Amino acid sequence: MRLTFPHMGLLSLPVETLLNGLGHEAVPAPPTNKRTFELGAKYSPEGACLPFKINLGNFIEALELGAEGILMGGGLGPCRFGYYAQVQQRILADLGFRFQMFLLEPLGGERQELYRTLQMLLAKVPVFQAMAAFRLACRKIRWVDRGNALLRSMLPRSKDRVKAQRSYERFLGAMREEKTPEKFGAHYRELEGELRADLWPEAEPPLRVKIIGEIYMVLEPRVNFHLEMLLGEMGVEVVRAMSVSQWVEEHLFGFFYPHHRRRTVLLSGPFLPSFVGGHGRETIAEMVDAGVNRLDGVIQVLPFTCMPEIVAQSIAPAVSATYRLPCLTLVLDEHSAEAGVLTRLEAFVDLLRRRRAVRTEAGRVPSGVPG
Amino acid sequence: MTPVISGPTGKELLNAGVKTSVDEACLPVKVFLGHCLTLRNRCDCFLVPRLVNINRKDYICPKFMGLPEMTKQAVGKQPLVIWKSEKNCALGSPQAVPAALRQGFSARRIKKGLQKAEAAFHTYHRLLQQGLFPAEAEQVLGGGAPPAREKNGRRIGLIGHPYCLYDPFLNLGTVNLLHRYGFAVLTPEYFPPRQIEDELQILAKPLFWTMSQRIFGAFRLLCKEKVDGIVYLSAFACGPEALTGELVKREAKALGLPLLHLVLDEHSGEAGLVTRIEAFIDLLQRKRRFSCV
Repeated sequence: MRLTFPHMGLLSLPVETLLNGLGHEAVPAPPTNKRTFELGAKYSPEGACLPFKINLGNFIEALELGAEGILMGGGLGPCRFGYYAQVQQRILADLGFRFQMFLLEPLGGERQELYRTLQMLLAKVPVFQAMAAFRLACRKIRWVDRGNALLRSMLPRSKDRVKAQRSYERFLGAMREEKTPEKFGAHYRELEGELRADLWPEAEPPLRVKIIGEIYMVLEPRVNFHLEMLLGEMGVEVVRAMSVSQWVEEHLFGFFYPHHRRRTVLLSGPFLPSFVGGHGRETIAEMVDAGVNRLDGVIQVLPFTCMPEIVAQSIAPAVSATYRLPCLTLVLDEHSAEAGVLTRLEAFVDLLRRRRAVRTEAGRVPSGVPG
Repeated sequence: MTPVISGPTGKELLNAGVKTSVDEACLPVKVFLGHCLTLRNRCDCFLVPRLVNINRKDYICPKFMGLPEMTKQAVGKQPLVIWKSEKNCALGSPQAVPAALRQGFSARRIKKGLQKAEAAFHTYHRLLQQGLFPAEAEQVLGGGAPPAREKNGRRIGLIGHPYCLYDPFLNLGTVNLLHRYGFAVLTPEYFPPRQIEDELQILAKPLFWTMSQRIFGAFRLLCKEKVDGIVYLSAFACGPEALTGELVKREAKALGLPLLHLVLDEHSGEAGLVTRIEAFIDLLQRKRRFSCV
């Protein structure tokens, strides 16, 4: 079956591999572009959050390319993501598209729906081959995420930042084409060699800023105006705990990796002792983590009207005050423009630079210690 | 312990709430924080609910889950007592009562108190199901007579979250306006919960917000009741309503039922609202006249 799926940062690489490995034809939507925004905003409910609109735009563009089925995630609430698929299905059907929707519901949700999806996905190939495809996809996303982390730490230190980004693009392209796991490591080492080849001699560590917030907005560079690259070009090292591979570990295999959940509960406990849906609790936990590790600042990115993140945003000042951690909140929707985001980022980075300069001049240790 | 209850919502209260909360928060949260702020100098501590869920498998909404933390941020140092309702700990159960309130009372007395409260709650809801509005139901509970309304048989549905429907300041007197035009107004609380649950069976996946379930179920029941039209009041930036509203709108279009969707926020002006409602009522009358001919 010709299947499509929503874009989210680097997610399309492993999903494409997985679907092709399972004997289906992956029809990825064109990379999110202006038309995606327009289509999404036109047909979505006005108050829906940005990921809903972009997903819908992706689906429309993929269906135009001839996709027959849509693979979409589900959820148990209270975040709206859990009900995206049902409303999107209704909207697309009313627009006259003919397609089938397959939902990957978490265990504990609609079992029948999950069963139907797995049946469709696994129908074409024997089980051992399906397992192999799945393992390949998992390994691919791990290596890709590793490459991404490498770029984030190297970009502010490299002499030629454009060249560094080009090497990274090449790495992604090579990884996308790769069908066997043997050469993943080689591609990564090639990228590492290229990036390490031209670095400035380290005089002073670059500013370190953590990006937190709603997972889609954090991971999708085409929606957050390539936030990480912009910061990298300003000479800021971007740290983030959130990635596709981490999400897979936490949400699909949470049973095998209980430390993710434990860490979140432990770190967010003093500020937000309750689950609030989505990534609200993770946002607070990561912010505390940034404070404890004395990072220079955090940037929270959220789509307009995101419910869990608004709760986190309301609590952020308390965390910020406790750890003396500067925090910038970027609320984005389809009307946001790059210039506005850029100005705010520049101002924020200037502030962080000045703060560091004042602290080192005064001979004080840059501290994030409470009190 | 003496409970201190905040007064009706007003302009100043709303402005205080808007000032203290984050810009993106929805109108009801701003109003809630406003109410908390007016009480700040009049009480020793706040009793804030943490409504995670009141039924199994569904939630109220993320903002209700983080309400105590948001309140703490707004009121500052004043201590909070959190009344928590979760899956294994229903709101009316003795273990849900915060320890600070339980102190010094025997288990039997707490149980009796809760039973009394539950009885009052049920009577109140029965009154609402007879078509009374909360203010009128409170009057009846206090020993007053139910108000008489002129009836001309025309009925209009009013759906939305309870805080939008029953706060005359937030909805700028929509209910009174509809009553003045001689409509009987039916709200989601008019229908027994059992009936609403039955209506939800048609959904492919159950809605996981209790309030949205009520809105959607009530909408379908109102269609069956053959009301003249439906007014949908929603709060700006309300998360669940963005999706439920879309379902309701598409359903109404398919059924050919007139629907007026009004979004309320702190900038709503009465004139704009009244104009739209009057225009909607005119359309309803016109539709009625032409379908009679």
